[in-house]
Amino acid sequence: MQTRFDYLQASFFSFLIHAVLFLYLIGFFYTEKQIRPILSKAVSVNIIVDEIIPKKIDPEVIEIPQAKKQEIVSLSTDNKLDFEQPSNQGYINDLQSLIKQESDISDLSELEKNIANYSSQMIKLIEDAWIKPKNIQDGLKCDIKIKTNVQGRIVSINLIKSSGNIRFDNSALQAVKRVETFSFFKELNKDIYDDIFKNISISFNPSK
Amino acid sequence: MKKNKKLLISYSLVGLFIASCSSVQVTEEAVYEDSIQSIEVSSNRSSLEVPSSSRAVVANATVYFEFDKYNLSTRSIQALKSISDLMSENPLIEITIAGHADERGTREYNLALGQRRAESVADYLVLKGISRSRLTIKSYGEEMPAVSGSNERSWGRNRRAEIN
Amino acid sequence: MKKIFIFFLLPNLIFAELLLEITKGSENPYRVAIIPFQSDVSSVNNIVKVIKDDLLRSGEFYILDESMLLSIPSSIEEIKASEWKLLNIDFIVLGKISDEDNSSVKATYEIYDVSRKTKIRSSTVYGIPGRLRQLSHYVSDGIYESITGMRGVSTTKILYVNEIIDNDNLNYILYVADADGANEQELLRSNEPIISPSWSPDSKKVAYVSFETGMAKVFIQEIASGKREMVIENDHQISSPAWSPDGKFLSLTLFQDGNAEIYILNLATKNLTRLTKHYSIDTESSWSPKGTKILFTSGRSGSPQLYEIDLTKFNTKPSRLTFEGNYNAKGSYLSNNDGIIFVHRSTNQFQIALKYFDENFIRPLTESKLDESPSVSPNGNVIIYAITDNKSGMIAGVTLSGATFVLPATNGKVREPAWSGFLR
Repeated sequence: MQTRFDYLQASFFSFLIHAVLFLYLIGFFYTEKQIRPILSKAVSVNIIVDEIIPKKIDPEVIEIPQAKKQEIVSLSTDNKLDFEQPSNQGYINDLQSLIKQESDISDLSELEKNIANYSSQMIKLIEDAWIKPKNIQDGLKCDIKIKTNVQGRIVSINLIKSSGNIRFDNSALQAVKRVETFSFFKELNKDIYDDIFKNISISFNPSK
Repeated sequence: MKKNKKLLISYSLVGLFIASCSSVQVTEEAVYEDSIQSIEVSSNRSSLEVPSSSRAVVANATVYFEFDKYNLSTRSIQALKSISDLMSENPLIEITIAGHADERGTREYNLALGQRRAESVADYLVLKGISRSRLTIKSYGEEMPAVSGSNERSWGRNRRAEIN
Repeated sequence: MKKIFIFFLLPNLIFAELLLEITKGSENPYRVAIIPFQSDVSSVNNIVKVIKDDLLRSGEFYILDESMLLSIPSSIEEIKASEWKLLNIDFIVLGKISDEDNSSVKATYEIYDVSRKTKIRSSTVYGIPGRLRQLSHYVSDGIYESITGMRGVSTTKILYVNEIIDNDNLNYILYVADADGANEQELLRSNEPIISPSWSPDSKKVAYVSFETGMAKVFIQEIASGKREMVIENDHQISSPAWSPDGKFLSLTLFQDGNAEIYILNLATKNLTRLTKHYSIDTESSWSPKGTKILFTSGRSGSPQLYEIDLTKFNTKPSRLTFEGNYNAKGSYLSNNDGIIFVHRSTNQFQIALKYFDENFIRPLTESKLDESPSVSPNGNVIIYAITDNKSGMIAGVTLSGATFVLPATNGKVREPAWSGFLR
């Protein structure tokens, strides 16, 4: 009698394990976990796309989030039905973590607003210092790369692409030299300086 | 990450150092000047011309040209015909043909134009059987105008080749 | 989870380097205030006037009139930037001249940038007593260089020929003078015409055409010693000399072939190489800044036009550069090799014009009727040329930034200016 009971116990546990494995394999638990990341990604991308409108930041920045957005759209359509499956309790948990992530994202969009603001400041400083030569060809354009130090001082200036007219190139270099320091750098934290403001490309394109 | 941190530290140290140095351009120089020497030359103009005693007969003529042109007009050819006849009859006569231009345009181009005009005259005479060795060809460009004046009339009178 | 997320986004921004696009600047000249220099030397006001005129002639500055100065700071510390901002001044120059024990004069000057509220230059120049104009030109060039970033030309010299009647005798005089026309000194005086003066690249010699032997011959004269030599002594006419940028060759126009042809003379070996072979007029040769090409005037298309020949290619044909108008001559390259300056005839006027290599049209720079012999400054920004009218000839200038000026007139007919290289 005892062995039969043990056998029953064993087979019951075996059944449970197999059932869980089986359910896992058919995606019962899997879909639940999927939903939370999908939701949070979709929401965060929406906010980022709204904020990265300022032209001054390289367009490449916009493209990457947008690609992600499309991915998410296809994913959610596939799992439309499954969305309704999770229990209420699971849904409330998701919402809370969503709200937490939303506040993280708004911190980030603050950052992007600041970058756009700092960029316009830098552009205005350079434009105010630039004396354009007269009697030059139309459509001239030159590119300069600068390196800054943590205080915002420009420590290296290099002409990457000449306009073909030395007076134009010279006036652009002179404008950058004249600006010399971006005083707002003292408001930046190390990471932002390192990632964004340490190396800057400047393009002089007056025919735009 | 650690590498980045190290770089950041060294960057900020260097940055502090640079920031503490002034960015004022400081220069010092002394004025330098070379000496200048002045030279005077003179030519005795009359000695440049062929003495008239060596010529039994004097051959003089002037032919005129269009702006920027060095070809001879029919009128010029008639004037030159008498010269060529004279020279054929008097084999000892040697002449100088001097080409000129009016003041318009650049000096060097006008010098070359005057030369071409003189050459046109020379070519004609050679064609008429006169030996080239009897001809001296030169140009004065716009440097020796016959008349002064900045108008069509004066210019016309300066575009010439003179034969002496 | 939170931290990873934030940094997940940052890499997106790192991939793209920050790019700023500058689309506008100012087309106004730099606005400068020169505070009257402090000095114990009597002619200090002249010094400041020379500096002011030098900067004005460059066409890149507006100098505030002395009467409009709100204050006279005696040192950088006394400058109140906000006050100068009201007058829209970009830079302030402060200076001092002092006599250094009778053997030299010392000028010290400082330049203050009003928008950045900081001093940008502090300089000292030692000059020779009695040569205060030279001292002033050194100061002008220092100011010009500091503010524009380009080399100044106030310390350079010019050559020109004057035709003047002296006691019923016609005299032709080759002069060398400062870039502003002052301090003129005779190099050669002759009673026969002198044309086409040309500087050697080191600015120590001049080549010119003189008619003193009865026809056009080229001479080279050393400025300091007056030593002269005739280039190619023979019975043929030679003219239009131009030095190669390395000083080893002289391009010339020879008339011995029956028409004007361009040759290159090796000054050391005296070897002559023929460059043009055409029955039309080829003259007025001029070298490109690196010495690889020669620009010249040719009548081969039926009227004088500018052609260019590449010296590095064997047996190439000259290529035509000008197609507008029926007279384009006396060309020279801009010092930066992005275009040419030449005499251009449109309708009935001879003007000085500019053509950039990457444009297919001509830009006229001057407006009077008979403009000729343009010469470019070594920094490529200013062109001097001769204005001729029957009674007088003068030297005028036009800057690429659009300013014009005329050098003080002297008696006689002045023409054929030629600009030296950098001397400082």
